[in-house]
Amino acid sequence: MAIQLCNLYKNFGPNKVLQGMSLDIQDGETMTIIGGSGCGKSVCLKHIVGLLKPDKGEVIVDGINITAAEDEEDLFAVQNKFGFLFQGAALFDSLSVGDNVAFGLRNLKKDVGDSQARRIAREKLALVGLHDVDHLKPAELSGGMKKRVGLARAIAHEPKYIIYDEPTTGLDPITSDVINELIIDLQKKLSVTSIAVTHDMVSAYKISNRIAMLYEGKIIEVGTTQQIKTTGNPYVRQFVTGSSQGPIKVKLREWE
Amino acid sequence: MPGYIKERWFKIIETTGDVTLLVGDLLKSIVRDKVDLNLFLAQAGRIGVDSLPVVGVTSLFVGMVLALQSGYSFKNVFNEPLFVGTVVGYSIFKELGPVLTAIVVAGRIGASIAAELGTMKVTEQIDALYTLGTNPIRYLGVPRFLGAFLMLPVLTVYADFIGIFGGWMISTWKLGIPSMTYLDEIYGMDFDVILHGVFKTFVFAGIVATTACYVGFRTYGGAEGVGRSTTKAVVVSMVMILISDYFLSAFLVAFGIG
Repeated sequence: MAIQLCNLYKNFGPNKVLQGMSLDIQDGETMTIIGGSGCGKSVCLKHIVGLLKPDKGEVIVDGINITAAEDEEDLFAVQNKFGFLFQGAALFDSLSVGDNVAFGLRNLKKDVGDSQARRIAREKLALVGLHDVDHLKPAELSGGMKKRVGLARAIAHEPKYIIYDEPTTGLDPITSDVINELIIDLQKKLSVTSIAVTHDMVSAYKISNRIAMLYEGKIIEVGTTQQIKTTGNPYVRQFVTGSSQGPIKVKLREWE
Repeated sequence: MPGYIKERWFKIIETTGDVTLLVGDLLKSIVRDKVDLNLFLAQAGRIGVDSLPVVGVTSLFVGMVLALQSGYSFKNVFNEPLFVGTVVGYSIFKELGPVLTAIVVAGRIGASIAAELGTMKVTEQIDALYTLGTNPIRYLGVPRFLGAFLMLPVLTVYADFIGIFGGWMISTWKLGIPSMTYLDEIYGMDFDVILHGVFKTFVFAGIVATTACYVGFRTYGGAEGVGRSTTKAVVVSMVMILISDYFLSAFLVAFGIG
């Protein structure tokens, strides 16, 4: 088992986000966590890489309980295994595209020199389909290009796991599909384990081996793409078909 | 005790604790890790060199108006403008130089640090730093903190001299005081007087940098949150500078400095 989330609980003030969430992720698979807006999908991802600590429960990565890691060096050793594509790409505005991609290399891989870091950055940018952009600033890029650069930065230090936080949100359908293709392509070329969160079902079906649904702080179903498509669970069924009618009640007006 | 007052007290205690932890982390990082010289110099330039024009103009006019007001007031009392150099010197060196420079820097640099770090927080760039093996306190906080800490005293000394020059201009041109009389009064001052002002700026620098970093790193809620943080950084810094100024002055005077 590559990553195990065991009985995670997390509250932000009175807001109960995770309430006993458990999930196992296997080596080499692409696991997608689906769920409504604000249900705690991104919070769950941040627990996996140690950006957030659970109030209760454990996150085990390659047999190591990362929630127990107190020392910064231990945490960075865990984070070295992960590449994280953020929702809005989270590129550093003050650095050029090339420096953004090389940033992790310079910090996480101590043996990589400056010229080598630049060369690797160019290679990774080529891998996500970008050429001759390393001198540009993030503000000069389109939304889709930012995602690609974010992806190049996430894979630059050759992590074992890649995490995608809503990889297609905010992109047009065609660009979304290109990003999906890119994720599948990287999966084949790098044979990494991927964890994605999304509420875009087209993307989820396309990129995943398995899909898990998070609802009210718990995983209510895990299955292969086919199993999720034909599920009997009324909650999952309602979500994947995108219907306002069903057991999940979203108020039309907040005061109702 | 009513619930909302209790909540408010808890909030104050919590914030004090968090600020102390942040200062602890900053100091720990300064002592333990290697400070990135390039980042530090970039911040020192931004805080120091880029503030020279606005600090210069502010202190020039403060020196000028001090000479003008004190000159005319003494003329009304003594029929001649006595002690203008002394009044301008003491006021600038001990109070107006350090306090006004700190307030200008709080407005210029405190706001920009809070807005920059706040934007990085809400766009998840701070999280991205962590996932790329970089501690944001070390990468973003330390250079800004050290930059402010080293540059504010330098800016204050610069402001002191510009202010004294402003006072000299008005004294000689407008009030007809001989140049040597004004300058003799300045030269006659103890070095402790300058030290009194400069000592305070280290504390003011700590207030401005810590407040800006704290509210910046704690920003939430998108563009509105960044706006809120920026305002908070400036207002809190200014109020704390003025409050701490009184206690610092009392403390320094009690120890015979200035």
